[in-house]
Amino acid sequence: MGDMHNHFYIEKNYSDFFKKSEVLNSPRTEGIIKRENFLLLMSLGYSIGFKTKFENPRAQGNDTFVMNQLTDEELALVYAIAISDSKDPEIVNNDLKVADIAMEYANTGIIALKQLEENSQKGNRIKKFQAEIHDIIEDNG
Amino acid sequence: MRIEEIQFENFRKYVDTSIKFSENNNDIHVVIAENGAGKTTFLNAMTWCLYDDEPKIRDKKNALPTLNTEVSNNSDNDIEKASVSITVSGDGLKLIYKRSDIFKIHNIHSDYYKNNGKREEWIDQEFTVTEIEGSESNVCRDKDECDLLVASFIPEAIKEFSFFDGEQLDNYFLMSSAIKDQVFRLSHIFVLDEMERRINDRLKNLRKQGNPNSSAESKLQEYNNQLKFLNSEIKRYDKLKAAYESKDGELNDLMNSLGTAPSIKELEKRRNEKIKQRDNFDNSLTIKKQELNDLIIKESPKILAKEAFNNSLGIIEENKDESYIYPIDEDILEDSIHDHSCKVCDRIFDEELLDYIKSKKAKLYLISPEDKILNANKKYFSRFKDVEDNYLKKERELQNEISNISDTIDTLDDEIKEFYNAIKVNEHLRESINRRDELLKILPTKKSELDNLKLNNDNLTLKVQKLHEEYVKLLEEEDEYKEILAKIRLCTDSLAVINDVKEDIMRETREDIQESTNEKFFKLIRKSQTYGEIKITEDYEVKLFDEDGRPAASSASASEVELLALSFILAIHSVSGYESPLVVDTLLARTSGQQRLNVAKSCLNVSEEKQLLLFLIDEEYSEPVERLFKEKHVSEYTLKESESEKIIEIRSV
Repeated sequence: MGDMHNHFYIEKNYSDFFKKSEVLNSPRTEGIIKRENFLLLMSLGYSIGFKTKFENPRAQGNDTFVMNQLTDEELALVYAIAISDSKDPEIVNNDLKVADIAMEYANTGIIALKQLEENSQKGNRIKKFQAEIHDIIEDNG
Repeated sequence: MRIEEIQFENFRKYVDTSIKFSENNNDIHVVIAENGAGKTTFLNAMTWCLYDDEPKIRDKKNALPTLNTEVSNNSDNDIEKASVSITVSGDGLKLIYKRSDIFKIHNIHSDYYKNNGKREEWIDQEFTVTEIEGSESNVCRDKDECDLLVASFIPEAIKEFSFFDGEQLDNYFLMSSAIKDQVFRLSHIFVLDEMERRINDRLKNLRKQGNPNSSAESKLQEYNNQLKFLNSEIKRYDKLKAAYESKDGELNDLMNSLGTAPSIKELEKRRNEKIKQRDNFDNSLTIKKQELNDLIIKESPKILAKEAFNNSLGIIEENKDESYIYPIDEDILEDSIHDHSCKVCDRIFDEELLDYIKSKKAKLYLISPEDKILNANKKYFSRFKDVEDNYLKKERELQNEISNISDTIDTLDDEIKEFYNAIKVNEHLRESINRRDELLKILPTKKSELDNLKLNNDNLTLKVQKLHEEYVKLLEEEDEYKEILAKIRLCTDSLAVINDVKEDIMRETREDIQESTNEKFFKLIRKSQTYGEIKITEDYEVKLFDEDGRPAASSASASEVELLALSFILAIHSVSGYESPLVVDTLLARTSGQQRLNVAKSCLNVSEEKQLLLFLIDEEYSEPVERLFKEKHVSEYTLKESESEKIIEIRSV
């Protein structure tokens, strides 16, 4: 999978939120960037249904973080979103496109999560997020 | 008895002089001298004459000889004497004490000595007491007899009560043990003491006379050892019992005052345990919350992306091509070709079908890498569709655990708060409660120790009694020692009686001295309103109390302390029966102004009872004192040193 296994990018403006979000970080892991968080944001963005353009994500200035190799399970998640988005199974052969789709959905996810956290009280944000998940499960039937 | 005259002959600076103390209106005599003008030598001469003791010479080894140095240097004789004689009288008897140091005078021809070649050598001392009764006189030279005659005037053991330094009067209150010893002598208890010593010796001898071949002696030894041990154990028991009773009383008081107030230490201990439990649950809560957080982070993406999995599976299916996407495992295909039957549906292959499958298998090797990737991921896509149920189940479990732990923490917080409140309510009693709890803890052990000791002592007492009985029996068995046994019993009984009598006498003497001291002090001080009474303790500490019974010695003035000491000394004189004179050096030195005059007036009172010889320096003999003494016709003498500073003369003023 080339570079994609090790590098994802977060728009610089969101790096602080990424590190301090109540949902993404427990007191134990605060400030540590985890690849699970990126995948959550990506999935959240996907569930909302649109991508947010991320111009030249690999440019200097954006926060990049080296991640451990994705597990097969995590990779399947990324591919599922990429195939669903592109409607092209062959996209799995194009790492850069897959990564771009993932990062743009993650960009949407960040904005959505930020709004969720801003609209709820401190200490109650995880519960709010849980409630969102419950709603989605209900919608999924 | 009183001193009539003192004569000096070649004694230090007193070469040939004397002083007569005639009894006129009163019997008080004042010798006034400047500092260093021979006052101390005068006082030393008196104690030297009577006791061969010059207490005020500090370095006796290097002191000059008693013989006047001028006499020594200019003597033409072979022998010279330095003498002091004191004439005392009373009850129709006159006694002349005379002590003389005898010196041999050597002519030494040496430039080394600057004494014209004369040097004295002490060769002997004489002490005589001349008794004169009426027209009869007798010169006594026997030492023991002479000592007895001195003791009839002032016994040496109590001379400190007749010859003393006014500036040291305070010290009388610091040397109570010495006073007790002296009063012991005054009380004539020493006679009883001597009796006790002799009876004890006798008893010892009697016990030794027990049959040396019998076992009585060793039995006695064993009995004595055990008795000694028993006594020490009884003392230990008494001490422990007193300590226990004191603590038990303290505990009762605490129990009465504290009621059922809880133990603060126990409350703190239980509170701390609860805090520890709460901390543990806090940790568990943090862990469970973290687990929930991890669950959300890890599992929710699969829920959120569920549509993507469904879509992807559909897309893959739509794009499937016979020659392109082939989702059959190569090994299964290989086995099916080999066995001519399908390993998936058991269909038997005919030749045509077998060729067809073989041709398809050949094409499999041409499948693109992305096909392989998609094949690999399809199983995850399918599996993720069921993730919701698992997520909800795990989330519910964690949520329940978190809720239970939170409830437990709330309960613990309430309990901890209750402990804090209980501690706060009883905080002001903390020390008392701690003490009560400590006593509750230690007293049962102490009681048990005490009971054990009591039991041991009872057993020991029985053992000692038995030993004694055995000892007595052994003695009784020996006929020839029955008499000894009777004597031993007599001695033992006598000792007990003597001991009782001694204690009675000591107590009575002390009470007499106390009464007499009170009487004399309040007579001398003339301030009956300030002080209440004087008490003399068993250890002969003189204690002054005010009218309300509070200790008042520390607030007494210097003159009052002097008068207190003087009263005490006069009381001792009175109780002892020795109506000897008082010879006091610098009595007025520690007082001034009106206080000094008060002491001087008190001296006039004292002189009504006994002869008083006061040695004063010029500064003490202030104008008011001089005026007072002159009005009362007190005899005054001065000491004058010659220009050569070798000779002192006593002059009557």
